[in-house]
Amino acid sequence: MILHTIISPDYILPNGLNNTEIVKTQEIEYKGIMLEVIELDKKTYAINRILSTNPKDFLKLELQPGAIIELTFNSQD
Amino acid sequence: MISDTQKFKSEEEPNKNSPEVSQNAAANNIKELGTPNIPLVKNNNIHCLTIIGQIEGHIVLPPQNKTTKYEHIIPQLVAIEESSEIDGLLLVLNTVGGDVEAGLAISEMISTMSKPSVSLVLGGGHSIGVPLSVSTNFSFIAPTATMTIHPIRMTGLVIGVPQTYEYFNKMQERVVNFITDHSSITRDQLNELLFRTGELANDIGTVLIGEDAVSYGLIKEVGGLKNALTKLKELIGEKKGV
Repeated sequence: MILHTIISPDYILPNGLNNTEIVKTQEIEYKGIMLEVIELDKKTYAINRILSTNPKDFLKLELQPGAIIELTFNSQD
Repeated sequence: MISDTQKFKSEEEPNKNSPEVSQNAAANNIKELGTPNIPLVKNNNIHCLTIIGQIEGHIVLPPQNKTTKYEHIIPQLVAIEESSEIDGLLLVLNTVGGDVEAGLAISEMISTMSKPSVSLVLGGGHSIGVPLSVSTNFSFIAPTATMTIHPIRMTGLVIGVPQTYEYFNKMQERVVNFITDHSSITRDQLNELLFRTGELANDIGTVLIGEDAVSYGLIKEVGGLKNALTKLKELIGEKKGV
């Protein structure tokens, strides 16, 4: 990895490349779109990434990374 | 398909779209993740793409870094190019730099778009932010904004052999080539700025503030939001007129 930045690498990666904290994510389907999300609590999820091949999905305001979505588990599906 | 996928259904709330609820959701996003929801303007034909913090590359950066993720920006650019509702792109930059590959990838995507694009450097457009700022059809810099021009560096294992220098030189060339191809700064001028000593405390290079970036031909004009939008609308008009 080549970084071209004015920030010192010690600030960007304080523990080097070895000990970066791994964020636990899961994949869900929301309104027909696959998303990689981080569980905040049982009902709310923060979007980490959109797993879609449709470029239009990436322009949807409610699906921007960091947006919080509320979901309930649907046992029927 | 992915086997452990869980299917969820969106919770039905009758008042979900009421202003109060959406305001709360927006406030929550700012509180929890520092991401504001941009107010949606109807009948708007300009897409505003903001590049902030570090440009994240192939390695997920720890949470104290504010990042722009290339895997989100690249498909967005495809969507903008393909969209029948969007006529132009406003690129707002306030970045400290980041991954070379990701920065160049975004720059190449923007420079090869058919739709008019204008960039506006606010605060800072440092390091790999420089190729990004010149990738658009026209560029503006705020009078107080800064751009740091300095050579690339590497994290991780560095082997002390001549090949390492050669490799570095090649990587630097990619950035230099992109900047000189998309702005009116000459290679000699850019190299002089890159290797200048005595300006930065712990690095070599140059800090350009507002007007300086324009005088070197890196950025086209000094301006702000009004200038950038006026120029973008002008470019959209020109393209539609053809």
